[in-house]
This record gives sequence, C-alpha cells and structure tokens, in this order.
Amino acid sequence: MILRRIVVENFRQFRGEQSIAFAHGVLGDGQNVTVVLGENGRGKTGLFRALMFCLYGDQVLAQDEDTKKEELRLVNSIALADASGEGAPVRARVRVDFTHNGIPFELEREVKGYLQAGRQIEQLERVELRYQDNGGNAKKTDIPTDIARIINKILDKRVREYFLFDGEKIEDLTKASAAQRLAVAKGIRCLLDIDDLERSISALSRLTDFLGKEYSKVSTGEYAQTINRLNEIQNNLESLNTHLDEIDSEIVLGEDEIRHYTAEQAKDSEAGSLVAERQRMDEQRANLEKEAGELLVQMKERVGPLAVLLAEEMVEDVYQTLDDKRQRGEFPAKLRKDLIESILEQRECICRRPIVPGSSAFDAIIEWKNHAVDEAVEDSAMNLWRVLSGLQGRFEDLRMFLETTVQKYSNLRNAIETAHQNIESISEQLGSDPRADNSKLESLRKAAEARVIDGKAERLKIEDEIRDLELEQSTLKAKRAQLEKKEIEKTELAERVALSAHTQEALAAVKSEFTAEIKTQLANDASAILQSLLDAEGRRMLRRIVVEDNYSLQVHDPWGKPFLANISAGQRQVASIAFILALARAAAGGDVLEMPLFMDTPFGKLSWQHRENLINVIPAAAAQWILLATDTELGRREAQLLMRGGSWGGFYVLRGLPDGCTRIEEVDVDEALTMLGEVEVTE
Amino acid sequence: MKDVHSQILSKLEDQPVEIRRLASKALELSADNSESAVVEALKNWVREIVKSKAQAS
Repeated sequence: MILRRIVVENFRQFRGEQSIAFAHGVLGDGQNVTVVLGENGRGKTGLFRALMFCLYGDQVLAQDEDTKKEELRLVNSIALADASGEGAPVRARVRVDFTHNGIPFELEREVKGYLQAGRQIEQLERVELRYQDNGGNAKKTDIPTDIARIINKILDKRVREYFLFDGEKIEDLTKASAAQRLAVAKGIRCLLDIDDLERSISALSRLTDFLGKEYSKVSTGEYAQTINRLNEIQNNLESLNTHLDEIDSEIVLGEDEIRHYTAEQAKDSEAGSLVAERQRMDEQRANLEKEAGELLVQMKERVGPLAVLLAEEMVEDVYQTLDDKRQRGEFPAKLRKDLIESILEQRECICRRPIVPGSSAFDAIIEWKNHAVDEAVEDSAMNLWRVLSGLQGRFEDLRMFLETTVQKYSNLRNAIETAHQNIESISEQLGSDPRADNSKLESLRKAAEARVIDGKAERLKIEDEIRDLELEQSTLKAKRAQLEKKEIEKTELAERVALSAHTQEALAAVKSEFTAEIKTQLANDASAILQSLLDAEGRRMLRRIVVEDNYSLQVHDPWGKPFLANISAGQRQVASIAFILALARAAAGGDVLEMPLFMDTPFGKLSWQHRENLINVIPAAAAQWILLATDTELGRREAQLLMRGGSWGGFYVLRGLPDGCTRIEEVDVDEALTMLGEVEVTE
Repeated sequence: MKDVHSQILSKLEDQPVEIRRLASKALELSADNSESAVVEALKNWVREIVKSKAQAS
C-alpha cells in the first residue's frame, strides 16, 4: 500500500474539504517523505484518526483508552453548530487514495452528525471502495464486509500498528509484558502468512481425533477372538469325531457279543420262547425310540420359532413400531447416506448446481448427512420388518404344534418304558434259570448290553456336543465373513488415522521450522538496523536484538547478556523501530515492503544522534515515510538532514484558525528552513 | 497456488506422497473455508487418498 492522498471534510478540526498529497517516490528511492507539522491540538492525531477511520472504520484509537467513547467526536463541531441552526445534519467524510501492487484504490467513508437536545449524535453513514481489478476493469462496492476483506488483504488489521503508529507508544513493543509478547507473536504469524497452515494443522488435528474415535468403535479385537474360537472348535470336532469312531467300534463289538449270547440262549428249548419274546420286545422298543427320536428332532427344529411364543407381545410391539415407520415413509429413506456423501465429495448437487464449502447449502447437507441412517442399519431394519411380518398370525399354529407334539412324545416315552419293563422281566426269568450255563450266558449278555447302552449314551452325548459345536462353527463362520469385511474397512480406517496424524505432525514441524527461521532472520535484520539507528553510546552498550522462545524481544549487551531493563526510552523507541523495519523487510522477502510508515510524534523522545540516524536510514528502508511532528521535535537541523537526503517530497503545516478549526497549508519544501527554528533536544 | 503454500510443500518433499497430497489439499481448502468446512472436506480426501494408495499397490 502506498498512500497517494487523504481528503478530509468536516472531520475533527478540519472544516470544509481539505487534502494532503503524500510524497510516494519510487519504491525505496526518490522523494518518499512527507512531513505534516503542527502544534499540539492542531490535528496531527486527527489525521492519523482520519486514516484509521477511513481504512478500518475505527472510531477509537489505542491512545483513546482514557477517553469515553461517547465523548469522542468525528464530525467538526463548529460546522455542526452552524448547520444545526439551519436544522440540517453535517456529514464528515474521509477519502484515502492509495495504490497497491500498482492498482489504484479510492476508499471513502462518511459519518453523519446532528444535535439532539444539545447532545452531538453521530451515525456511520456510508462507505465505498472504488478500484480496478486485475483486468483493469473499474469496480465499486459499498458492502462493508467486502471492503473490510479487501483492505485486510492489503494491510492486515492485526499488523497495522506496526506501520501506522504513534512514535511515543511504539516503545511498548520492547517492554516486557504479555501484551508485548502477543504483539510480537502476532506480527510474526501475520508476516509468515501462515493462517492457512495453522488452520490446516488445526483441521487435521480434529480429523485425526474424529477418525481415531471411529476406529476405536470397530477395533474391539472381535475378529482375532472369532478366528481363535473357530480354530478351537475345529480341533474339538476332530477329537470328538475320533472318539465317536472308537465308541462305534465298542458298540459293534458289544452287539456282536449280545447276538452271540442270545443265539446260545435260543438253543435251549425252554428258554428259546422267552428269548424270542424279548427279541420282539426289543425291536418294538427300538422302533418306539426311533419314533421318539424323530419327534425330538422335529421339536428341536421348531425351537427357534417356538421361542417367539415367549416374547409374543414384544414381537407384536416391535413389528407395529417398524410398520408405522415404514408407512410414514421414514424408511427406507428417500435419500441414502452414500448419495449425500457423494454430493459432498463431488461438491455438486444432483441438479448440477455447485455446492460450495461454507455456504448455507453445504452446511444444510452436512446436517442432513448427520441425521441420515447408514445403509446397513436401514437394510437390517427392513429385514427385521419382513421376518416379523411373516410371524404375524402364526402364533396359534405354533401353539397347537407344541401341545400335540409334547403329548405324542409323552405317549411314546410311556410305551418305551413299558417295553423296557417287559424286557427286564424276561431277562430276570432267564437270569434266574436254575441251570448254571443259562444263568452265566444271561449274565455275559447283560454285561455286553450294558457296554453297548453306555456306548450309545456316550455317543448321543458326543453327537449333541458335535451338533452344538457345528452350530457355533457355522454361526462363527458367518460372523467371520462379516468381520473380514469390517477388517478390510478397519485396516483402511487405521491407515486414514495414521495419514491424518502424520500429515498434521509434518505440517506442525514445517510451522516450527518457519517460525525458527523467521525469528533468526528478524533478530539478524533488527540487530543490523539497530546498529545503524543507535547513537555512539547505544552502539557501545547494545549489540543485538533477540526474539526469545516466548516471542518477547530482548536486547543483548556486547557480552550476550540481557540488557533491555537498563536502556533509555529513546533507545527503546529506536529498538522498536528497528524491529518494525526488520518485520517489513522480512515481509517483502528482503526488499522494501510496499507499506507506508505513518508515524505520529516520531522524534519526541529521541536524542539528536538518534534523529539523524532515523532520517538517514528510514527513507531507504521504508517505501513511504509520513511524519506528523510538532515544531518542538522537527526543527531546521532535522529539515536540513531530510533535504540533504533528497527524499523529502511533501511539506504541510497545520494552521490554527480563530474559530478553533485547522487549515492544512501546503508549503514548498525549500521554504521549510526559513520557517523552522532550532529545536532543543533532550533524551 | 499461494507462494507460501509452495514453500510449505517444498519442506515436505521428503515425506511420502500421500502426506504431501493431504497436506496440499488441507492448505488449498484452508485458504477459502472455515475450519469446520475443511474438516468435512478432508474426511473425503483422506478416504480417497488411502483408497488410491491401496489400488496402486
């Protein structure tokens, strides 16, 4: 930004329209110094205020901290008193013409003042910015937020105090305080232009946190547990099947023995009929048991649906709830979550309109996505509705089946028991045969039969165990398939978490590197500038400006010891200016930054040598230097120096008028020496 | 691309290509969007980058 002209109309002390054209020279060369001379109270700070008001809409300055806001007046009170006599308001206006990167800008801001019951009331009226775009087309806007955005891009509001400042206040930059540290840190951040980097780091931190939470939801170790259990089941099944084969061999041997002893018993004519009867009864019992077994299988098959009878009421409630939601159209949803995600990803609506992040449409879609139900959840809900719908009306059938089957099974068990008792009775008769051979045969037969029965019972038990394990295996295999799908997603999610976290760390490392580099560069530049600004005594005492880790500024003595606490107010001011010039140089990449140094009361606390050094150094170090000085700080000697340097291009004097207002008078620079006196300098 | 973005990305030259891609996207989005909008958009980008890495390998 290079200031070309400021026009003030009925603003503060300046009645009517008056203006100052600033010397702007060529960047870093030529006549780029403008001096505005005025006694205290004539309007030097009023001009500074006009600039701040026009650029940023500020009605209050930092130095107004002791003044109540309602006591500050921008509209010229004499003009207002005259106009109020005629019953009209007065408009105060400031216009600033400037260029930035060669493009001309005209910014104009107005405030309206009127008297009401003897009180001066002020209202902001209008702001307008006229400029040329990159294509050379004339543009105009009166939208305050657009104007603020454009001006902030040119000279960020946060760093303006480094370029537009009160000379006596600037020494605060080198006073040890939290505010000072914040100011330096802020200056460095703005200088680095790392707002995007900081926002990226912060956004990646939030993303890592979000993805980490998503990952912890799916990462329960369930997949590993399922695989282990499946392996365990497989081993158990193999061992049980081996055992089953052994039992089968035992049963076969036992049955062979039974057949052998039965055949031996049948050879006896008396016992023959009893053995035949027992065999018949045995076959009958076997058939009954087979029938009972089949009935049991049927009952087991229906256990699932039959269990629903236990929760009949709950099933009906759930079905009703789901059916109501389905009828209301809540699911299946008209728009699926994956479609919303696709719209967000492509940043384009289905009607082909673009969706811009940060727009209200974008935010609405995000909200929509947050309420949308996952495809899997919706599919599960629909499946549940279908199953429950099929169960409706089947409760009575199930109840009938259960009652008749239980009755039939009970009858079969009774018949089996009767057959068993008959067999036992025949066996007793055969066992109590007084003939020793027959009695021994029956005893051997019974032992073989007992082994077969035990074997069969053991077999049934193992078969049950195998059935349970196979059922669990089948369930776990289905679960493994699902988990495998999730596992792939989980692996991908874990990669996303890692990528987000590593990118965040990488960018944070870049930020630290940038900050360290800029701190060193600033310290080196500021130290070199400080040496050129200090007087002989200062150069002896002060060697280097250092930017501490906590962003405070320190000045070291020749032995590298902190010396800031011992330096004078003038040396503080010079050190602060050295730091600002270093900031400007760093911001311009080592060149002269296209920014004005607008200094109110520049020399108040400085020694003659410091003034001389500032006048020699600043015109070449800054693109433009505007001095608002009193005749007690800028005298003939300072003017001679400015003239000798060839950079003094504009001279204005603020003249007091009888009515208390101020008139801005342009004076030829060559006439300055004749009107300026000697200045007594004390520091 | 803003000059400062190129400077940042040049300091990431030793990083894997996925980190460079995500960092570049984050910076590009951060230039014109609020932090929340950047987070939302990055959710898609991080998924996209991981997917294309998986497809490439």
